Amino acid sequence: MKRRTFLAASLVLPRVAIAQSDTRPTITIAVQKIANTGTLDPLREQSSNASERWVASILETPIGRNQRGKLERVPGLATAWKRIDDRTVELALRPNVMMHDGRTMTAEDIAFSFGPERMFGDALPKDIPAVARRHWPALERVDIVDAQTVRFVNARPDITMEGRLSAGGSEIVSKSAWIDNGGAWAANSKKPVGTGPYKLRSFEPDVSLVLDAHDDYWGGRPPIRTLRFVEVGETAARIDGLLSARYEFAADIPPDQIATVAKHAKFQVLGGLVLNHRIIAHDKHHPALADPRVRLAMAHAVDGKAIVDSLWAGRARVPPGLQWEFYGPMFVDGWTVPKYDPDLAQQLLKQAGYKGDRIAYRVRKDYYTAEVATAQVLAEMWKSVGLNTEIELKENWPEVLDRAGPRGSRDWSNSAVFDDPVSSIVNQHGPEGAQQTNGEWTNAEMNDLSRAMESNTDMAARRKMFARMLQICERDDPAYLVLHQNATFTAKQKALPWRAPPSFYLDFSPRNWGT
Amino acid sequence: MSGLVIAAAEPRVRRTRLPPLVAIAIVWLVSMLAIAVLADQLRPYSITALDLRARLLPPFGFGGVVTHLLGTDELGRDVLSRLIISIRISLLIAFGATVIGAVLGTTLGLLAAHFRGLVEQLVLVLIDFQASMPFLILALAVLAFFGNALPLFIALMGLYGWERYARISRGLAISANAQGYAAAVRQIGARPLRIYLGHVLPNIAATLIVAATLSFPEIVLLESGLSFLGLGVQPPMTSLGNMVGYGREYLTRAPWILLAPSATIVLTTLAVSLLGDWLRDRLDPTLG
Amino acid sequence: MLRFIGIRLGRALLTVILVVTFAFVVLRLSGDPAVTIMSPEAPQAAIDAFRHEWGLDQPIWVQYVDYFAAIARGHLGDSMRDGRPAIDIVAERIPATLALTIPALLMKLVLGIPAGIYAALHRNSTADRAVMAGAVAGFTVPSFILGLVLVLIFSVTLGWLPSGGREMWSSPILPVITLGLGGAGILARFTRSAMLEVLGQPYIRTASAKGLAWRRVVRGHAFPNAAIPTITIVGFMVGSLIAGAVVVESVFSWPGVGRLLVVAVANRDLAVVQCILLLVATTMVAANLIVDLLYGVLDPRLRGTAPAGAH
Repeated sequence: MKRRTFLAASLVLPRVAIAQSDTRPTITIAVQKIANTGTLDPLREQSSNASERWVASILETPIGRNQRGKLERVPGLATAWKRIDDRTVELALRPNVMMHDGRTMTAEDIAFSFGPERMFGDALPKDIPAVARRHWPALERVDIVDAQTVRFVNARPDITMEGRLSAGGSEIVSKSAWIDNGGAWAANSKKPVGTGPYKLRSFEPDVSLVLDAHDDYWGGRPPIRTLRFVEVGETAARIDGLLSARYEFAADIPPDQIATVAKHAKFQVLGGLVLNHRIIAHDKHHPALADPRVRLAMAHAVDGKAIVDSLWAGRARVPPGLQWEFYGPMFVDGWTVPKYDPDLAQQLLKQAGYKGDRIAYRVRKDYYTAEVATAQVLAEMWKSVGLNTEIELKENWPEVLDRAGPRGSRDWSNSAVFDDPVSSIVNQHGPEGAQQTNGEWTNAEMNDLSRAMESNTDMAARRKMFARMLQICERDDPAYLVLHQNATFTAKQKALPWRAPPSFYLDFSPRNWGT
Repeated sequence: MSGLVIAAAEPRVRRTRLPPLVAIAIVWLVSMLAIAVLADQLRPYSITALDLRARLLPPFGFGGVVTHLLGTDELGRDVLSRLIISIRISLLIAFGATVIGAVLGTTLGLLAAHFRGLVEQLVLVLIDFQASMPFLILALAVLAFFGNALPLFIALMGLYGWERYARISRGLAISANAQGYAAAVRQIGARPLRIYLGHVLPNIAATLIVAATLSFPEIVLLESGLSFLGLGVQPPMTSLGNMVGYGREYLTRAPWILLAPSATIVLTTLAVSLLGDWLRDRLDPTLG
Repeated sequence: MLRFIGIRLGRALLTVILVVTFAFVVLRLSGDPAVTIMSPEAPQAAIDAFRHEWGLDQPIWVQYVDYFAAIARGHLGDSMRDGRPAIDIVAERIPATLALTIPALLMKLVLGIPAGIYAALHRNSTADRAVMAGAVAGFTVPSFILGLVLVLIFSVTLGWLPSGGREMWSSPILPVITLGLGGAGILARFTRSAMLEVLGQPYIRTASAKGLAWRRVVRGHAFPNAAIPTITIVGFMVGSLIAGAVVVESVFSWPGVGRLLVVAVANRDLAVVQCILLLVATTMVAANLIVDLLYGVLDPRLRGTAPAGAH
């Protein structure tokens, strides 16, 4: 590997020399974490706050997302899509899409990306097909109609197929590059070759990820010559590096540090809400949490607005439950999180016969923004209504999820991967969702609803089901409590013409640079 | 311990006047001890009591209010109250760990010196093991297996630095054994335990005490380093290292959060070091 | 002498085995690498498959025996996270770490020892007090705070030096200073102590009473004897060359072994952690061995026994 690095460096040098006339800037972006798993394959590396920042710069999905709007679906590698029936979607592919390996994208590449060598085969590491199944629980096959047309065929009716085609996990890779690179997953997981505006130059896990402009990008000539993502774990170091002009961008700025950057005239902090909610998941088998009223009381005891106004400088918000307006027709209007009402919380605890039993509250060390601070605020809020929660700081997920203890409540977050509740409440809290597979919570009615909703195509009926799910998971038998919607902030040199997308993605495509 | 000091020091006392710096150091340490003992009476607020509307208030006199003399932290908690409790916790950790390390190390060192041979080699292996094992791994082990109870954390910190006492006590005991007085006592039939407790230990106590004054600040610092890595005293508990560790993000925005505990660390370790040097000069029989 | 070296080597081997065993038990029993390396949302089937692939479903003693069997064959294992041989991953990081720790060690020696000697020779003078106050301040400020303050002054305010990373020639300056200042403080204190002790010895007083020039007494008698305890602490510093910069590497985003260790521990990536520990333990044990041999050279009385150590 070492030799390969040297080789790569020596190949790069002449190119840099030639590129002297190229006046495009080189941009360095300090991020907290480049990739949690040390790979670049979105089927393993699926962390919203790490890899989502750069994946779309390299790999694209058949259907795009409007990063300058509200993430609505827009033509991407497919220029149009239409329903053949309730389990088949046909894509018309964009002609003349040049991939990073210099070949033109065809239907073969699409089919390959969803095929056995890339997604569902036995030769892959076992987590890859399993994760792919989570993204595509019922995908049967991808049919090539002609070089520019493919059909996605599902085993059962599914109205979320278009959503899934625009979501992470559906990225298109170059078939020939994959095969030329040995065809094995391990080698290709660190050398993604796709269609995005930037192509991989080098990746050093936990240190840096360097991308070069893909000048034949179908969306136009990329505005940056070289993008360097560097991993700088310390918040202060990211900010200091930005202020001393080491970096042009610093991502993952905690809300409390916005003022630190903003007082310098040449810098600004952009960003805002993303489609991700901070939640607290309960283990309903914990003796003190068995009574749903105790879990509901925990929600009524939380003053989410106070947390948002202080720890988030008012730039996050308390959302209407585990849903986003982005859901469009599936959004349940009028739904809210349980209101902040300490008296009600106390009454509920009294009715439930809660005697002050200790409830473990497991927290990771600032895995989420301001996590430890938020946890301490919550513990105080719970204490004030008589709930005896005890913060347990944990180092990793297995410790958080360890059944011994016993486990009580824990920190978590949920994303809307595409514009349907199936992508969040069903995927995370339904029968196959992590909260059930790790044995924290289950509910028979919720499970029936989840299965029905996945194959039902009647929007009005689905919306009703979703409303009932919210009622179950947030009121009747709380699975979690929704704390606040997350926001992400990126600090940058003011002069650079970049806008913050409504997502974790740091979009440096031609669409998002300039006026 | 103080009995030993006097026993060892008495014959050598020549000057009784304290150098002013040492006097100041003693005053500082005594007041730190007093704060630690009276922490619950002194602190104006509970250390977890927070006020989200009064976050990041500067200290009184720098734009802050008199009700929060040293300002408030990122959750609107009173920095003074947290500092007071932190002093108690950190002193407890440092004292506890120093005593554990000294007792453990000295015992092992004396055992090695007494038995020599295999026992000695085993102790030496343990010493090498301790030096070769990054403390990060040890801390992680204790945290992962036993959780973050304070007594366990103190015991963990006691593991830091015991090998120094072991080295010193072993070396000194070997040379003491070779010297006349231990042999003389042995000849009149005293049991080994009595020889070590009654004769060898008092003679090497001075050196050990000085070693303790060295490891005390190191433990305070180690605790802050562990806090930086997230392996120190865990919230909602607090300590000097924990305050500095969590306050570092606010170095430019609200420096008072970490300035007060940092200054306390520096001044306390300075005081302990001054006292240690002075004790060494006074107790070490070889110094004129 | 041969016997001494033989025993010493045996001990060294035992120490390394102990270190590796301890780390093995701790890492294996304190978190499942499958979950930490994939994600908490990974399906159970995937986690089971991962555990099977890496033998994590075997009883721990079987894993332990397998691990040592592999080491005996010269194979230190592959990173579970990365798939590559752990030794390659660690080897890539060593130059970066040494680029900090070796200059920092030199800085500690060059600043610390002369300062300590000077302070000892001018005991109780203002210079002595100033040196000692500076030394104590140097090592009592936590290195992450010192590092952040240096960055604020020299990078943000003055713009003279880079705040982190490894790309420029001047990149190592701030991290080396941060590492070196604290160590220099410690060394200055040790050296002063050792010098004072030696200067109080009867033979020094005798030598100087015999009319030997003070300068010659100091050079010829005090230095070699004071060197003994100082060498102990220097040996320890040499032994820390590999993993002694964890905090500073984090503050300065320096891609060294220390940061790798933190990440590997967090991921329970055993092969990588063990590889680093083997390196650390070997360095430390080797440094101690050299120190012991030096003791023998400097003080024949100690030959055959390990050193008495110093405070």
